[in-house]
Amino acid sequence: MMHKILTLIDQKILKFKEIKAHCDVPCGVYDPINAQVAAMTVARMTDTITELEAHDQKDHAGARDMDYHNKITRMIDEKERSAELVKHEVRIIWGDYFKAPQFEAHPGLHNLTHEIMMVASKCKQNVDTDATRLLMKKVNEFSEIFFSTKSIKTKTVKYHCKPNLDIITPDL
Amino acid sequence: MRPFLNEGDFVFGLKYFLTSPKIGDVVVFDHTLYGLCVKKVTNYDKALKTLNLTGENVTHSLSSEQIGVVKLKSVKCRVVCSFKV
Repeated sequence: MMHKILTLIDQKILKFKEIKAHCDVPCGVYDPINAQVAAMTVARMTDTITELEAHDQKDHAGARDMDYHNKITRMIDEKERSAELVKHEVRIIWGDYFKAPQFEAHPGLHNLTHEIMMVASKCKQNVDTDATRLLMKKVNEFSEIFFSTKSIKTKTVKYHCKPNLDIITPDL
Repeated sequence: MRPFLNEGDFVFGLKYFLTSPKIGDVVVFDHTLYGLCVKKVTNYDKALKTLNLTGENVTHSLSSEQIGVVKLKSVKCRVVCSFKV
């Protein structure tokens, strides 16, 4: 109640000075793009792992030589790192940016965040193309909600890097 | 400054008058780089009239080193109450 009265006074009568509590990232700088690029990378790495496996079977009779092991290890490592980055970036926005009014306006947000965590883990644990596409879809949904809380319209475009999946971007 | 303060909260403060900052006081100060900020006092050097400050949220706050030593004259007031969102 008191907060509502003070908000009214702040908006209509006096303009209270704004003070910052400051965090490592300057206050107010949040963007889901990092999560989206990481999700795109998870998809790409899963595709390249599958392609390498198919190539090895076809051209090297499944020899799995040192070159194969080197490549596959690096791709798996990048897939793992990127899936973890998706989880980290989404957690930061969910925990630090979204507040009660946004959760009230988007009641499915907690569930969506949890789904992203689970699908990202599934992408880590498996070589699953469908899971990577689902992850991208969920992260795009999350991004759309994020921008809607800022009253920013969004558009869907094909990402410029393979696998050229749809990505939600702000229509600025 | 979570969990003590969250974005959108209102704070009211009193200037230091005949009193000195104490460890644990939450103060509003004008930082040369970061502008008007709110942090907690971890140390007050009475002789030099300087303070060391830190945030409540250790994981995400600017460290004492990043904030640097703050002069007493930069302190606008001590937070006496807050009204939460």
